Amino acid sequence: MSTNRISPDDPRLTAYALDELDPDEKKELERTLESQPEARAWIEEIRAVTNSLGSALGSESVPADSIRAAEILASPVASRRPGLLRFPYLYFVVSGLAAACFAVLLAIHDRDHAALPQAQSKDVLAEMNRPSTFKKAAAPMVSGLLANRAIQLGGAEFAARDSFFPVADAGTSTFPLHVGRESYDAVRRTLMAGRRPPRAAVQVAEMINAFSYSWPEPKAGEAFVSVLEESSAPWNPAHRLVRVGLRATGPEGLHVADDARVQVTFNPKRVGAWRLIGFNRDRPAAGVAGSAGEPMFGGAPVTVLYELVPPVAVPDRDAAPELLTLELRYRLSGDDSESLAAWSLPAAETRFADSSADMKFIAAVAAFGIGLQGTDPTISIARPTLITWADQSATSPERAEFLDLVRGAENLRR
Amino acid sequence: MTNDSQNHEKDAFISVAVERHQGALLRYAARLLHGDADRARDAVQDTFIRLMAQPRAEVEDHLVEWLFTVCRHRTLDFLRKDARMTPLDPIAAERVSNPEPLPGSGMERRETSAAIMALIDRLPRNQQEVIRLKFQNGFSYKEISRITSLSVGNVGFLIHTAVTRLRRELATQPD
Repeated sequence: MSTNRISPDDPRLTAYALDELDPDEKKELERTLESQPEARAWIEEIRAVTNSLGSALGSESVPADSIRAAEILASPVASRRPGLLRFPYLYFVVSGLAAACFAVLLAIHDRDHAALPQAQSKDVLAEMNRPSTFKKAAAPMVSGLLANRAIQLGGAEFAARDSFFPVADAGTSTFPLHVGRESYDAVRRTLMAGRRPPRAAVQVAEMINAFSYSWPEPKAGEAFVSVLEESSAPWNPAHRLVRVGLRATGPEGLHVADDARVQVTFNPKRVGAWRLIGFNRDRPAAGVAGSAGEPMFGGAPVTVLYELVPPVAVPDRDAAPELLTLELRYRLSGDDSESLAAWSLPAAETRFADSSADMKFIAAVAAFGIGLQGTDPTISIARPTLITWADQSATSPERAEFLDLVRGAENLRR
Repeated sequence: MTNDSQNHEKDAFISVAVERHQGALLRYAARLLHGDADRARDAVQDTFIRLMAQPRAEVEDHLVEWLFTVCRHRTLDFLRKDARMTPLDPIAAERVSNPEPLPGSGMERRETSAAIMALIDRLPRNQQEVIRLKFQNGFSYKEISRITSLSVGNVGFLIHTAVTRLRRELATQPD
């Protein structure tokens, strides 16, 4: 029908690509699109442009923090809590400091609830509010702790986004060898009920580890297998996405090793900065090396995702080819000596589109989870694009169910 | 709940809001204020002070949208004061009519973002603003409409116009 033809200037095309149409408008447009293949192609092109826009704008620099919470809290506001304040200025400053200090304590002393003396906590806050001094010695640790943890204050939950660490400040990373899947179960139930899960319920690392992935055949005598894969990051083609998988071989449930610790070392010639995706709450130390050893059991795999930013300088010709190395230190059960297993990932320029089905699926799960959290606009992928990735890699009933969840995740109630 | 614990919660709420949102707000305000970082800071600081005066329950479920809306009003106040003295925004007109040369050929993938940023810089300012609100800050059309006081249809039109132009410009760039 010629009256229904869509012109390339029709704003509904972009609204459709961005999933901004009401369900009725959407159905109507889809009916028209059936008879107009060129308009479907425009939508694909628009989608590609909007993805690039998200990547480019998402990586635009953010000004350094220059506003201190204490200043705001100390400002005289007439309408604030009338008749209550006896020492308003002092109250604002102390409570502001206490709140900020609480956040730091929460992050640093995971199990230790002892309070720091006030003088010390002031220093912590001063450090927190001064980006320039932040770069020094303990800075990556503290900023990582703050960034990698949902700060639960005043009854409200704020899932912070995963921060990048410059390789110059933090050249190694570690991650936990056991990641649960409870978060995915909760997210799944909430989505099935047509509701948007609360931010703090969404743990992207647990969502990723709720699915099974393929593993190489273990070589004879090797206690562990690993998977290392890299491609461009689909939300920012200038960045690299790396998945790291580790699994103890041996029969399911068999106690394979003790005191297992993992360390990822980035090649500074090829990596400028890195972040571990999806650990914003559970494991404050996930970003930095040196966690306590864990036991490892057969058949209990872990998969994590890193996003890498290339260095400013183009690597010279004789730079070592690897992007990163993965080392696992452990003691085999019943053996006192420490063993070391190591793998390296050579840099390649694989495009995300050419990556494995597992990689696409993991990226889809991560981007979907981060979208549900709504805290990291640098990882923002339109739902139709997610559906495409998950669809290409929906190789099991669990994955097909995930695809249905993504498809159904519009018009969610909070 | 006692008043004391309510106040404590409110302070914690403000502290976390300052910590989490100032970066994005400073970036947004500085853009609107033609890169004036000092006044951007003033606008964002005012925004948080206004947040203190606001009952938490009224803003909590749309906090980020609220912050951007108030921040935008503050920056427009600054621009209006300027306009009394100088004609508003001659830079924008210049940018649109006198574009810089397009980035060269043979771009590496790493440079794609830079090329897109250069193209965005050449868009009219109102398109740049909604594009940033959408793709940098992740707001929906409806939220952008409430932040900017434009209609949802108008927001959709501006975003589509900008995206269409970028699509054409990217398609004509040598690869």
